[in-house]
Amino acid sequence: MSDDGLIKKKLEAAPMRRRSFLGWSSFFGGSALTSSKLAKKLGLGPRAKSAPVLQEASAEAKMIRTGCPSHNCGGRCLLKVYVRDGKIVRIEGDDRPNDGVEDPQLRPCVRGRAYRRRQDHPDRLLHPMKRTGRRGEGKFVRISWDEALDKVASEMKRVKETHGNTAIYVPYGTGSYNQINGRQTAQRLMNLFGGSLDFYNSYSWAAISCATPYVYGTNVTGNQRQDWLNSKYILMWSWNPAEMRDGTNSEYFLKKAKEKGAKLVCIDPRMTLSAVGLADEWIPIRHGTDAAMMSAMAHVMITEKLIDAGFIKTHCVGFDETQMPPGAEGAESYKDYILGSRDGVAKTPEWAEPICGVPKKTIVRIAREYATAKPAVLYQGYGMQRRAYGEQVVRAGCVLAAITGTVGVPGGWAGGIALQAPDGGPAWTVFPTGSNPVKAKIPSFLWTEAVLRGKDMGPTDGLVGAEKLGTNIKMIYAVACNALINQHANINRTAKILADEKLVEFLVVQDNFLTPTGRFADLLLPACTQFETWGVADGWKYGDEVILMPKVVDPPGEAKSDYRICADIAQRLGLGDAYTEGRDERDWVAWSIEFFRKQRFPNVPALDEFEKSNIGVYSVPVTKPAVAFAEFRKDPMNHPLPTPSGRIEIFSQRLHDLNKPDVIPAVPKYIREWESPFGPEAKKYPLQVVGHHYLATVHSTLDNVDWLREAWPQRVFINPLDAEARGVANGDQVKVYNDRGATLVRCRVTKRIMPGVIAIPQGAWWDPDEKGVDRRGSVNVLTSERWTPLAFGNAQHTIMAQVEKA
Amino acid sequence: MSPTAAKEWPLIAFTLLSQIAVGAFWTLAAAHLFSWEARVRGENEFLVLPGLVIVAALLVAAAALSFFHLGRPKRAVFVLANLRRSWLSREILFELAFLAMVVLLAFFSRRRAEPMALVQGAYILASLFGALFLFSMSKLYMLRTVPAWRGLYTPLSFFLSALLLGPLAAAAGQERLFAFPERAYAFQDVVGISALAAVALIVLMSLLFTPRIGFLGTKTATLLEFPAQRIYPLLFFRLLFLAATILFIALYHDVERGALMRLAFVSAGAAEVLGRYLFYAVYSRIGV
Amino acid sequence: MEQQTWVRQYAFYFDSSACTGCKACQVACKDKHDLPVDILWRRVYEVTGGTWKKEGGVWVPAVLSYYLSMACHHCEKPICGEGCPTKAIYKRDDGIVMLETLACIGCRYCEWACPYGAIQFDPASRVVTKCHFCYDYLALGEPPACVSACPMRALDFGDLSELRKKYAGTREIFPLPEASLTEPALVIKPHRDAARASKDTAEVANWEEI
Ligand SMILES: Nc1nc2c(c(=O)[nH]1)N[C@H]1C(S)=C(S)[C@@H](COP(=O)(O)OP(=O)(O)OC[C@H]3O[C@@H](n4cnc5c(=O)[nH]c(N)nc54)[C@H](O)[C@@H]3O)O[C@H]1N2
Ligand SMILES: Nc1nc2c(c(=O)[nH]1)N[C@H]1C(S)=C(S)[C@@H](COP(=O)(O)OP(=O)(O)OC[C@H]3O[C@@H](n4cnc5c(=O)[nH]c(N)nc54)[C@H](O)[C@@H]3O)O[C@H]1N2
Ligand code: SF4
Ligand code: SF4
Ligand code: SF4
Ligand code: SF4
Ligand code: SF4
Ligand SMILES: [Mo]
Repeated sequence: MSDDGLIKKKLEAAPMRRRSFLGWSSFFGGSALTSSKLAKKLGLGPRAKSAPVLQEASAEAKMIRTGCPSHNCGGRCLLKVYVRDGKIVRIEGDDRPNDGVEDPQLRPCVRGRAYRRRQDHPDRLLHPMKRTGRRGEGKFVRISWDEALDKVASEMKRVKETHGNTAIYVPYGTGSYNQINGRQTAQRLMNLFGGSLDFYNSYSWAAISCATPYVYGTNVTGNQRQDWLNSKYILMWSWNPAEMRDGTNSEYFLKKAKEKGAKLVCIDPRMTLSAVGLADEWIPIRHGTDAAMMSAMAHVMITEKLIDAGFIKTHCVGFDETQMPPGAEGAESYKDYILGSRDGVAKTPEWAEPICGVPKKTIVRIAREYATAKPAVLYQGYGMQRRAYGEQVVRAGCVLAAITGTVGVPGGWAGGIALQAPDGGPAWTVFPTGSNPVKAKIPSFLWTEAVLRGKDMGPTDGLVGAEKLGTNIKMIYAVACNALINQHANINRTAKILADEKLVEFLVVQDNFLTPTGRFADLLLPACTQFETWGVADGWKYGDEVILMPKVVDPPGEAKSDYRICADIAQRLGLGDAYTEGRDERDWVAWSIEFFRKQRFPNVPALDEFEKSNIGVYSVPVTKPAVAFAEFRKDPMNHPLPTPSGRIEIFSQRLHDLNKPDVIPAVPKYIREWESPFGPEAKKYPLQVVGHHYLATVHSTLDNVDWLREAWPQRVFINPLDAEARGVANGDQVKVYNDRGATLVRCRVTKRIMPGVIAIPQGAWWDPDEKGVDRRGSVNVLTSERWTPLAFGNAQHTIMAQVEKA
Repeated sequence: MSPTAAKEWPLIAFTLLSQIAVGAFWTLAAAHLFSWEARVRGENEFLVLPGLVIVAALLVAAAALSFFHLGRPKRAVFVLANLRRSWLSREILFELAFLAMVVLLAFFSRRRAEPMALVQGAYILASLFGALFLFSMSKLYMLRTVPAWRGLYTPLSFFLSALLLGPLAAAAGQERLFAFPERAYAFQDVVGISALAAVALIVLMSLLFTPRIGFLGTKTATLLEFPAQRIYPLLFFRLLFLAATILFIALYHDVERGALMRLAFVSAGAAEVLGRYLFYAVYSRIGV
Repeated sequence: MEQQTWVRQYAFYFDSSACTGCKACQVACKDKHDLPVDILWRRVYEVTGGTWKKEGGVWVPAVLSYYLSMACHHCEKPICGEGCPTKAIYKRDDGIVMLETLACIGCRYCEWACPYGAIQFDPASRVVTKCHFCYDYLALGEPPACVSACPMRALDFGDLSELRKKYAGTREIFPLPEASLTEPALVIKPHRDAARASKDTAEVANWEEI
């Protein structure tokens, strides 16, 4: 802001300041100085004779309540945006009265507060563009919408004719869940066009959403969050809600639980914001070894008889040899594993200590505390499962809940993914994509495999819905997705794959910015932001509300909603009416609200009324929080779980039958990761890396926002012991590298991370120099494309690397 | 986001030039007040004029350079608004008063004004204003929240700078100031010895205070913790030592003094610039 | 919103024990006042210290860490204003310490003096700036932007004596200066780790963010 501009603007914004100036000027004896020519010359301007009537800055602006853009951010919050002259001039948070536990305000996090800097960013994509240079070089030239849309339509037809619909792919991309923007709009287009290759699972929850049902038969294993206030002890395991929110207000509910006397303990290699601001205690653990600590805790509980034997007997299977399922009677039970009766290794705290880096006496203490402080919660964050054997740790955590009998009771917690009872919580996407004529689905993380060798992919590669895929991916239409490059693993490998025009023949990227993924596009299409179209959202993982997102400003340049772009393409394919059904963006929001009404919110106001009220959110207060498995707990015979046995499966016969005991054991086990501090790889790359989710960004979204990067610069966090050993001082530029890639980034030397572990927040935009060395601290140059054995999920937190001074 | 010393060059210039001006004026005043023969005094009156003009010019230059420190130099008139509480306001007030007196004296000198008592009184008053100027200048740095500046070090160093550089500057220009060479010689003796004493005091004081400097700030501890700046204190002492050596030679050897005095002034001046830079470098406040 | 009764001295309450250091307050302030990068009227300091010790074969932390979300504390003895040559800094009847940027000559003297880092120079307008307690919102009966922003509900505001009655708190917490220096209008509920923090054991760890 230039010079007087700032002052002027502030004065305009706050007329009150003028009055205060009078106060000052009276020092000079009234207006002697201030009315003089000199004063005018000095730019003091005409002065109000009397104090002006106080006027709120934003009074002239229109205030609209709307949802914070519905990214994959961990929350869904309510904003008050002030619009003046077609521009958002201020953003505030939810101001509903009666902010309490039952129906708290949906207060935005720092990212929502900073959103204007993304909305009005000078780098916004304004026009369709086509590639001019080599793929990936990042050179583009502006073209017209007509040319762009014709090109997409003709390429769709060409690929369909030459390779079939299965060769078209709309990849995982989580940029928008407001119904009107986002990848679902493209999925609808493809489905009408004869289908496209689909995917299942996610980069977020692959292992946990796959493993939880092996124990409980369902993913709805979580109580409504207000129930945390009934808990006495909350183990926040790999869980960092202060930073990743995990539903707006999760951190607030935890504060309330603490106020009611619960003890909170964080188990994480990093002393996170949650460990500082929420927890009573922080226990650092080497990541990837949690299953070992959990097993050792089970050992303590079993040997000290802290388990709930009655509950195990009536509600579980596979705990010990007395309750092995038929057909697996002789197999190793959970107790066998823990006591080491088969493998000769008792999973004692002594055994776990050198693996986890947690002192045995701490393990013993936590085991006792968790088992005896009834009711207790062992909450499993998703970081622990986005890794090599992510399935194991999920099941190991569930089993601790099961054997201590904290399942199905208020204040307790079953563990696992914990979608909220009773109905699984928010739906995220209700926009109707229609059904996909192509039945084949790949795991979301394995798309590069489908590009390279889709023809031969079958069930062993996680393919479902077909015995063979039969074709490689030939066209990609990426909407609201930076997961082709930036968010996918092993960027250097992926970049090579995408650069090869013989593999993916046509690549469209539709985004608000020219992202690292966009650099590889043949065609770049400018999508509007969610402030620039209509939308509606329910919660993130948790939530009992519907948030209306009216269009508040016009899109800049030629940007359009994802819905409109897809509708225009559909038009060119003769599918226009089928696509729109005569609805515009707002009509689909009305449609979605009716959907919510039928699904979870019978009393949600209809759109017109909702809009007119400018309330922004319809919420259902939670007075009696639902408890998952309450009925099963009371009466397991009449309310069996949807598992094959109807009980909690500590031993899973289904997994047993897979017959891969080394990587998918039937009882949860600690398995050394394929990259760990314990293998030969650690000689070259001795540091474990975690790419945690950071408050500066929603993944890669918002990486270019200055206010956020001022608050949370990109850097690598390293313990003083490791830094000193490498001659690295706080603030130094360092190189972090392994066989897959290297990145240059400044370091923060901090005691808040355990020795041997470094952290590079995920999400920074890949920015390679001529030699391919990233200059931005993009952690995915270090990650591996290898997937987890059961879920075919990403293991992006399993990384070993080395650090040196750059 | 704390001010760093390098950015303070306008203040380094302002404080040092002002101190030279005050110190040089004191020297002139002393020469005037302690010249006893009316005739000689008359001669001096006439010849002192260039000295007064130079002092005034130094003051104006100092003030002009200080504008570079201000974000809004055009508003500098407001600076006198808070005489009741602000040492900064007072500093400028006394600077202006001092400058006015110097100009008045120059006027007197030009007109060979009589009676002598009035002129002498004016010299005394001007000297007092100079002292008050330096006093408020040091007072303004003696912030309760900046321990390194808070103590006696600040006024002592400001006054000693004036006492070292001012007379040296005057002595360096002595040929023009005195009609009688033998007087000049005696004058140089006095100036030289007092400058030597000032050097000794500065060294002593710096040694006494440096280790304590900046001890309380949250952000930085002592000066010696800035690795990049560790070299400067050393250089500071060496330059002072050099100046002292030159003075010693000038005073106690049979040599042409003028050039040596100028050399001493230059090396002492360089030392003081460094010293002042260090003064700003040790800024570190209590709290955050 | 309750109608504010007569206020002698506006003050902030800050619950360090509940602050996660999320900086929503900091950015809410930036948004309300359109502050450029490098100017933070509200800033969040991370205080970290303690040690790592080897116990048996494993490293065990005795690490302490907490956050301080700090604005201008509208001190009862505002040292910032004492030396201001232009009287650009003055105290209102309700205790708010105002900075009249139109009168400021940008000498940055107040910036040197304030022991809370509250005063910050704006290179664009070439004057200093600081928190003014969102006096415009107060006049409308609304809370300051930072206070209503906190997802942890760790901030509050009101009359100093009322706040003192409402919350048990302190103003003496490392690394803040002795309160007697400026009498900040501030009530802090300390984080449990604050008791162990001192110049010898801890430091502000996030200067690059402030
Ligand atoms: N600010 C922010 N919030 C977000 C997002 C974002 O990008 N930014 N993304 C959202 C999305 S899509 C998702 S899926 C969620 C992700 O939420 P999570 O997956 O839970 O987040 P992470 O940061 O990956 O991991 C959480 C914590 O686990 C720790 N951790 C990692 N591996 C291990 C381990 O093996 N053991 C233990 N004990 N701890 C471990 C990390 O240090 C981190 O502090 O966050 C959501 N919220
Ligand atoms: N190393 C490592 N990698 C990870 C993770 C990790 O923990 N570690 N986490 C993984 C997880 S959990 C996830 S969910 C993925 C997320 O990966 P992505 O789904 O790719 O998420 P973003 O990086 O946020 O990219 C979303 C893109 O959508 C754009 N966008 C935003 N709003 C809109 C809109 O309204 N319309 C359109 N067209 N575009 C929009 C944004 O500009 C951005 O480029 O990342 C994964 N990657
Ligand atoms: S949690 Fe998500 S929805 Fe809420 S403010 Fe932050 S970014 Fe916006
Ligand atoms: S905190 Fe600093 S700026 Fe604010 S009133 Fe106190 S001394 Fe002045
Ligand atoms: S910078 Fe402005 S407000 Fe601060 S002391 Fe100088 S004139 Fe006063
Ligand atoms: S009271 Fe207002 S000006 Fe002060 S820090 Fe809070 S938001 Fe910023
Ligand atoms: S918003 Fe609240 S919790 Fe977040 S940093 Fe500010 S005071 Fe702390
Ligand atoms: Mo995710």
